[in-house]
Amino acid sequence: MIEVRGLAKSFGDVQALSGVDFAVGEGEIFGFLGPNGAGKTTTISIIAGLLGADSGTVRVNGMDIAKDGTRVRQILGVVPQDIALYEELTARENLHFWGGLYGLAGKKLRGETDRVLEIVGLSDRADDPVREYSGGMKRRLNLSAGLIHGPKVILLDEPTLGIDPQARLNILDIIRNGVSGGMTAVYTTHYLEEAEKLCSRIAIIDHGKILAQGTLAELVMLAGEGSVVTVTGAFSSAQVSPLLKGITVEHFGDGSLRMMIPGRSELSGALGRLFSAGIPIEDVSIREPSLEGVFMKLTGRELRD
Amino acid sequence: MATLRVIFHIAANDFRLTLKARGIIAWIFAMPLVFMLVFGLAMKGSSGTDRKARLTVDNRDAGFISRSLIEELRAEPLDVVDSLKAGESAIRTLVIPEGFTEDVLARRKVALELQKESGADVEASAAVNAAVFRCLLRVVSPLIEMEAGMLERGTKGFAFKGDSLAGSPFEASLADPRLLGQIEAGLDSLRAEPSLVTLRSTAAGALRKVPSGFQSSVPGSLVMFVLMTMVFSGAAITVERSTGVLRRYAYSPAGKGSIIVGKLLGRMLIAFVQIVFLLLVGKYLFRISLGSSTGALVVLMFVFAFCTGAFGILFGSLFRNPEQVSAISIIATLAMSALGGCWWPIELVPRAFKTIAFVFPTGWAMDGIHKIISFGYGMGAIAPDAAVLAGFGAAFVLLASWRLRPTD
Ligand SMILES: Nc1ncnc2c1ncn2[C@@H]1O[C@H](COP(=O)(O)OP(=O)(O)OP(=O)(O)O)[C@@H](O)[C@H]1O
Ligand SMILES: [Mg+2]
Repeated sequence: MIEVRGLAKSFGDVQALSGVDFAVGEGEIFGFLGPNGAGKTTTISIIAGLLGADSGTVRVNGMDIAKDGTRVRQILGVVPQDIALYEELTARENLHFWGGLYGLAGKKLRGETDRVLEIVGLSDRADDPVREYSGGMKRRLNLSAGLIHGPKVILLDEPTLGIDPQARLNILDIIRNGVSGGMTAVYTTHYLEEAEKLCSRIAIIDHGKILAQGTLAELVMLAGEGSVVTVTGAFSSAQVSPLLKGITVEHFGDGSLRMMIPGRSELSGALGRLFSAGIPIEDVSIREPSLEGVFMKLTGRELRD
Repeated sequence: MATLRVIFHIAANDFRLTLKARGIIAWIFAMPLVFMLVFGLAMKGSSGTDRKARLTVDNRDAGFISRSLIEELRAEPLDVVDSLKAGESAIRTLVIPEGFTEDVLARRKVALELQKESGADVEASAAVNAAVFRCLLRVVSPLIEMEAGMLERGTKGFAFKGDSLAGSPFEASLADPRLLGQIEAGLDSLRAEPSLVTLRSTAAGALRKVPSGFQSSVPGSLVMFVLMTMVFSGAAITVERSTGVLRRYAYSPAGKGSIIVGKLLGRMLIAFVQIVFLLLVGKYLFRISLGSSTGALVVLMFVFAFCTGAFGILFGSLFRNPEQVSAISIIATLAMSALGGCWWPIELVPRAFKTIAFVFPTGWAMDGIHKIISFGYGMGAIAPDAAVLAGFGAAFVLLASWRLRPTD
């Protein structure tokens, strides 16, 4: 549905994108994960035809954005990173206006407005001016304005930016449900959990380059990442070290031990040996393999706002 | 069709948004009235005198035809004087030569001299010329009528000889001295009748006098406050740009052309509402004349709305920071209004300022409006003003569309 080949873009001296390739299949939610300044918004802008690429091609539903911009925009919805709404208008008035730009009018426009207001749960506040909305409500309306014309493809640029965790979960649910109607989505974020929860495939982008892409499992494998197990108790390192042959120990001290364990069977084996040797364990915590680790491995940095 | 619908959709939205802006209603409707009133009253005393164009008549003839001509001239809205007092200046001096009456009656060639005074206003001069020709016509045509009558009656000493005319009323009067008196009386009575021929010169209309009082403050305030509204609504584009709203337009299939035309149209609609309101207030509340050419007024106001609407959009496209815009917009509007002649009649400022006025669209708008409402001119006279305003508008639109990029 979306095919991006060899995209490069620079702003003066800043190389915002270099050689970005990815493809998104129909009905897929594709995650675009990267820290600030990675090139997420630039990629979205090029797919939407707002920016011209220095080189490379973008095809949406088989149409080249550089040649068929107007037709692409007809089936494309964009949810911008910034809340782009008329604050002095109500939610309904906003949606009527934005829908009208796509040629919707009359009954159809009113019907679609009601539909997306329902999806984002703003039906009961539809006639209040946006100015009076909370941050989360504005985000939801911003999202609905990208859905008003029933696009086949939606580009979501950090749609949960700057709102509390509760409201974020709410938006993720909306997207999951909204997109179940066969919509194809590109979802950019710098929240790992969001990409993990929402996306079937994920690309990790940093400094304008895609470092890795694939399903969550593929990425984790790629980075050789396993579960991180932390064990605390009244033990000394001399007591436990003979029991941990063949296991990557990250941190080892008296009373505390952190190890990297590649799979489930190795995990139960290691913990079993500690228990049967009678080591006094007080607490065991297991962190499942995550993109966090993958990102760390790939970039050597943590991914944070 | 679809494009047109999107354009109207955008126009309607911008129209609504402008009217929703805080305090805008006061600026559109109430403040201009205050200005019209205050400036109108302030200018009533200072330049309220009716400055008719002055014509000096140097009459060296003693006959009744020159007397009739001067009587006709006095009936025109001219200030006809025999000689100038110290410090006075005239637009034209008419020299009537000695023996003028006799020469005319003898059908001898006679030259009237109409001397142009240096530094006279072109339009005032044209008006004086037209008045002089009108008067000549009103004197000469009865004479021709009487000659024809004399020929018909076969007055002695005055007849056709083959194809040509022999003799003249003067020769005939030599044979019959009473004839001169008859011609004089005939001329007076024929002049009193409504004339069959009227001369309307293109520069016809009231004479150029300095508009004063409300006649000056109404159009001045109109031009200034329409510009103000347009600049103000143009600043909304800066806000749309900084919030990313403008970028959302660019995500839609509506092209840049439709977006700009739509936004321009929305602003022009606001300008029309304001213009119609202020003109009606001028006419019915301040009792000023709106001239006789509604067509010319409509055309001029249309291009004025186009020009200022386009200026507003250009203005909004030049800046990124909304706070910056509101400060600069006031200064720009005031400067363009003052220099364009919205605050005091352009006739009263030094020559250099008159030239500066025409650097700004406001100067052309004021010039055009006064031509229509104060001097009674029509479409032909305002054509240059309308063309220049349209040219300004087109340039503003082009610049704005060059400045406004969807990625901003
Ligand atoms: N219009 C522009 N002019 C100059 N540089 C730009 C422009 N837009 C983006 N950049 C630069 O390109 C790089 C990528 O920016 P981009 O906005 O795509 O990042 P992003 O991944 O969306 O970041 P964020 O998470 O902060 O939104 C950055 O270094 C940015 O400074
Ligand atoms: Mg971004």
